[in-house]
Amino acid sequence: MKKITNYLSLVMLVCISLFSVVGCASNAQLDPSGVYHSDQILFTADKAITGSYSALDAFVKWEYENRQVLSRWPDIKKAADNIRTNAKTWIGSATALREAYRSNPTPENRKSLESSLTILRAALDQASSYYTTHNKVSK
Amino acid sequence: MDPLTIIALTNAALSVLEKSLPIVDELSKNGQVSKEDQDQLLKKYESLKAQADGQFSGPHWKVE
Repeated sequence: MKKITNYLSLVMLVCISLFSVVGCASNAQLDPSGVYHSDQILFTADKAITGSYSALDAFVKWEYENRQVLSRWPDIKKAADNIRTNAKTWIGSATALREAYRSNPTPENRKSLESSLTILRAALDQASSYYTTHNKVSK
Repeated sequence: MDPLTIIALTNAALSVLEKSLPIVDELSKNGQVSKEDQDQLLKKYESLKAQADGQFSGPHWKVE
């Protein structure tokens, strides 16, 4: 359990820091001969989308494996169930808007992509908040 | 500290900085995200998009 909690902490931290660069220029220097062809927006979006899935997956797993202990705080299960119900849609929207941006990298498509990532970020912020407050009681 | 010592120390620090600048520049160039890392990320993204590796499955994803 300690392994998953350490992993969850790391994934959450990475995701939240990634989101801080989506709206502005990323600091990552991309090898221009790589598959992203120096497209910082696409690269950062893919990191945010895949990282979000990993963090949300780890959070719902943590809630599932510690449900009895965490039942004292019903909001945690409520938040986890909200993720279970909606994460596929959020990730699906983000990938659809990512594809739209990739096909046609206009400012409007970039803005739509960033909006979809904002929704993912909100879910991550909430999950992270519950986790950091309550992870000490979990196994 | 006497003024001569301060000047000597400042000159030494400036000299180190001058020598280190090309190295810093090289290090930042070497801080590139490699082709391999980019490939890996894209594969991960494509797998998630297709849910090819059992994403969103497993008992922890069921609403109970």
